[in-house]
Amino acid sequence: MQNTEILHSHQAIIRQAFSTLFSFCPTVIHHQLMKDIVVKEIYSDTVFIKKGEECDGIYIVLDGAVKIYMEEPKKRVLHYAGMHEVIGQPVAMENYLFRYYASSMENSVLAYLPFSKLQELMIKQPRLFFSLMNLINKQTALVENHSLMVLSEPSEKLVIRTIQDLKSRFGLDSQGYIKLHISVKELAGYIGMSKTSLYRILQSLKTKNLISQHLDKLKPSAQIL
Amino acid sequence: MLKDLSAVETSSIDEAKNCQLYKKGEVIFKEGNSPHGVYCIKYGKVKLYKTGSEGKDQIIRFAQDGDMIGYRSLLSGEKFNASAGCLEETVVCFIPKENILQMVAKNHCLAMNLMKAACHELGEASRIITDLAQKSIPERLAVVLLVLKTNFGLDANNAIAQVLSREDIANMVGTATETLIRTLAKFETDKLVELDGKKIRLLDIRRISELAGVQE
Repeated sequence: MQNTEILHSHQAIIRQAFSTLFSFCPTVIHHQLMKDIVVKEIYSDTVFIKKGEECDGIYIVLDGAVKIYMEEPKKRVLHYAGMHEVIGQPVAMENYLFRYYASSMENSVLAYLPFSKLQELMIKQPRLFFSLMNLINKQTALVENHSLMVLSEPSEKLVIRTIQDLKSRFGLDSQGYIKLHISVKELAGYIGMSKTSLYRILQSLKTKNLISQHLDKLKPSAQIL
Repeated sequence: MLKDLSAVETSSIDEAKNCQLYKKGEVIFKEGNSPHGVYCIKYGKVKLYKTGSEGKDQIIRFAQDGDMIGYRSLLSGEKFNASAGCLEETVVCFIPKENILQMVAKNHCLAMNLMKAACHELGEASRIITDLAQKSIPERLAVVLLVLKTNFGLDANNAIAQVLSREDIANMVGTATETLIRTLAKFETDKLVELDGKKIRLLDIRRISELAGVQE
């Protein structure tokens, strides 16, 4: 499909994303951004960012979920990006080569904004600058809070906080399972504990009726939320 | 960050700024408070830290001579998401919100410099958390020693130039102070470091880097 067709079919999602991400900007800026973005439909399990590739723009997750991970020295997930999250902006600003990989976890829709276009628009519309600073600040706070959690919380509390975080960012499906489906092995790597430790903690949480689990789906109880 | 200002802008900043001396341990701003301006460190060293639910302080990064702090919260319209405390006697110049906002709106070089600095902090925060989260305590300590070396440099004896309390280092590593002291003692036995009171002398940066899993 051509970009304009994809754009048209995802207009509602894009407008919603821009209202959230660029809330400081008037809609005229949203219209200008729409002209410069390239909307990409990415199928599940597709790698669309490779380490070492040049980065000259940012991705915005319009729909779906993206996994950002490293492969060396061993495969580990750095972050799960959900709707309206931005990928790539530190790299686009700083050293221009991606330091990680990114793949879609399900069929996803991403908007790609070339950084040169963002810069041009920022000069004409300073309010876009404040929107972008807000985005960067929120994302930095997210990472710093995750750091605080990982380094200072006892293991069971860390697992509970991670489940709460994933639920708030990805939501629940109609049966109450967190929409992001991750294996125990991958979740353990993300949190920073062994698979065995995480398995023990999940069993303990199930015994206390705080979660239930079906394959790679987690269902938090109302108590945990 | 303020290097691309015109003479008029610099003069306007000089008139508006208010410089203050802070003693070691004093707090410049607290997490959760609303920013009313930005803070430029004229000289000294500052730690930015978050307070966890258990009341423990977690250092997230450092700032020193020439750095600007508090700008991200101000420019994004949010409250401070960390506190800033002085590691030594520090002179900080406060620039009011109105002056900074006016300059950013008119000077796109300044806006770009601020955005690059913010992105750098995001990149560093992401890098450090992924380095720390999935490593053992000795590996984390190795990472933290390298972070401190990068931030503060080494003195003439190869000791980390800034002295931090064992508690601060333990919080950065994510372990109890007793465990940190034991791990440092093991590092000394293995001739990775030499301890002289609170000073930590790095004896073998290559091996510390290998343990940290980074290339030096």
